[in-house]
Amino acid sequence: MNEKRLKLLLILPLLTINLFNIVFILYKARGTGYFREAVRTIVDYFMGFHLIPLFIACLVLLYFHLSKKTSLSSFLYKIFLVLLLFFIAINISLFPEIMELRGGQEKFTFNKKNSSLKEAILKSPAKDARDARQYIQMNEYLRNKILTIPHSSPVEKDYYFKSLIKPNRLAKREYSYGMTGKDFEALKNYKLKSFNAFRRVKEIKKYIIVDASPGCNSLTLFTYDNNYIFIPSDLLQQHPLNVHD
Amino acid sequence: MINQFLFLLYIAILGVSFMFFFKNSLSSANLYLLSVPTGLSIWVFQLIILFILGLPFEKLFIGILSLLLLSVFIAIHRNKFFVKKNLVQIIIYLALYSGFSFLFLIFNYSFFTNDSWRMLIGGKYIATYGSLLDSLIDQRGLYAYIIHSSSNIFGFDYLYALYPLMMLFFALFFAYNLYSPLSPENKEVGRNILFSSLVVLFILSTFFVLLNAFYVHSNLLSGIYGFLALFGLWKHLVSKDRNWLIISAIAILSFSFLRIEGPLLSLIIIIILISIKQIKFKEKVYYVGAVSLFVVVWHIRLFFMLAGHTSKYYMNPARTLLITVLYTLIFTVLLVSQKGILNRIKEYFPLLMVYSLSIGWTILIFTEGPKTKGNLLVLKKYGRLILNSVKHGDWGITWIVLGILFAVALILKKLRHESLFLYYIFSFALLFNSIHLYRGGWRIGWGDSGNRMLMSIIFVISFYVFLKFRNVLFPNSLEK
Repeated sequence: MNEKRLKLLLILPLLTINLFNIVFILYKARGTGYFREAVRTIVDYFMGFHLIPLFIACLVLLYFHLSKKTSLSSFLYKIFLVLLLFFIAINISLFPEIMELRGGQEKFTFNKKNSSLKEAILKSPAKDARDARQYIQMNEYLRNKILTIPHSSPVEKDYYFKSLIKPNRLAKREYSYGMTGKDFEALKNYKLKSFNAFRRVKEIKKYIIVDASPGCNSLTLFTYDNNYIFIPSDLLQQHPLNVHD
Repeated sequence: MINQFLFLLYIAILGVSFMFFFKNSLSSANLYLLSVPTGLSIWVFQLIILFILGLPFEKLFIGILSLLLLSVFIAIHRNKFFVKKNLVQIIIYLALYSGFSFLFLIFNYSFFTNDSWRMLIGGKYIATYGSLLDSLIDQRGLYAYIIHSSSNIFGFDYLYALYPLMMLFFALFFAYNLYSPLSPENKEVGRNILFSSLVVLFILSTFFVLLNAFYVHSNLLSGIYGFLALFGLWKHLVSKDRNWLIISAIAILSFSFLRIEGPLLSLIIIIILISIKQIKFKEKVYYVGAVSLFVVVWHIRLFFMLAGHTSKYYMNPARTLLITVLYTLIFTVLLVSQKGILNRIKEYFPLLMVYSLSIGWTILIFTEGPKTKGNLLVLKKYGRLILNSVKHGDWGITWIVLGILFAVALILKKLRHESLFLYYIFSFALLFNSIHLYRGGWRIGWGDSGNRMLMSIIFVISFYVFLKFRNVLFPNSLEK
């Protein structure tokens, strides 16, 4: 048996196993809406008026190729460049949307400069208990230039700690970053454990970040007006609050 | 700022002085463009050696050692360094490098998440106390902490200018190596340069790639070193220049120490290397031996550090032992594969690796991975991987384009030693899927670790795809 045939014989079962795995995963992951959303996104990228200039450019290049009888590789090269430019344009056009969706959380923009580590720390909020501990450590390090073990660190009085709990309700879907509109309205159905959060939340402009997984019965709400950070109640229990109002 | 500039300058000079070992074979462009990643790796590994061996991790000691290392390299190459032509090149390079360094130092757009804080804390802790913070031992690779120890050692806030500098030099390196020398009669130089520049621009127009140029993390460095490890191996085969193997070895060591799963991913390249007939046995022994030694010694040290440790985040004693056993085994296999049945089947090692990973992935799929926190819906989370690569992971249109072009590239005219790329890409994909299935799947958003891990493979896939298209678009290319 020659080498090529042997390699083909070895590769075919491999392809079969992996194709089967992919089909099985698609089957198991059906109904989640993720694939539908992915396909819709891909269609959105290519459709609309974006395709028309591309189509025209390709037609023009084809005309010149046929009329001037240029080589095939030269024609393909020009088509390739046009396509690359088109893809670059789409990628860049997505920048404002991506940066806008970030909202207050982990904001990365080119008009926000950091001048020092302290400034970077103060601008970047802690998301959960682990974060808050690391955060506190960094602040303590900056203050005292030493690093302390997190569990015994006092809570910085600049931060408020709350959590939302609705004991008998289960989160029906995953809440992920950048939730707005009607999803935000749905949050109102969740009962507050302590009072301050929701009243202040209404003052927050646009983006609220909620962390929850389907099947859990608590939501942790984070908001980024630099005064409120919400973290799970385990840290709440470990450290006394120092609420301003 | 001046202290950080001096540190970055030191890295560049160290890199150049080391790369002068390859002056006779590497082009000047590659020599200078690789000086930053190699200089950084050499500096980091001298500190890793100090740390592993438990030698004093103190500012003065490290400072003296760093200067000594630089002096030794310069002394060895003093004849080449002070030749007029080379001196002019070095001065121009350092002038440009300094200019860019100052630009990135002044315009600090560095970006943080909780992981970034942990790296900074870990780095500052090592520099202050000479040991790893208890809560961070099992979280990420040692390389990331050592890099950030530079801030306390050299006396500046935090190392932020390194990332955009690495991205800039890597982008130039990528473009240069995608550019193809043409036959003397062919005057398409301008088109050739335009092609490689647009490819790099396409990659940099990806928001997530650009973000990583400012993100204090290990994603960018993983991507760069992972690429250099494979590229060095491929270039060695194509150009028959042994020096590329050394560069690949340095890169793969860095890659292994950057992330917790680094040693597993590096094994892919090692297995591919063992199977290649064109590489001499002695060279394989040095390469695999050096990598295995570092990885094994560090993981044994980690085993004892984790032994009395309560937090089992990613690493635990059992996993450190597993890595130790795997690397010892692979080195042993290399040594005995000179003769007998192993010698006859070793060219099929990469295929066997892909088979094992496929079977492993299949098992994990049917057992839905270990049930993470009672989550029985692990397979449903696969949709999030697709959604992240298309929308929420901030990759723009890049993965869609690369996916389509990759499918087309597979049927284009074959590259020399193309199988290297294909084995690596498919093995990486299978291992990546298995790791995440094991950990419990993906979450939506760019911050998902799976999404960030895609940085480790994007440069490899991009290079492979565009290299194949380059060979179609420039049929008079001297390099195919």
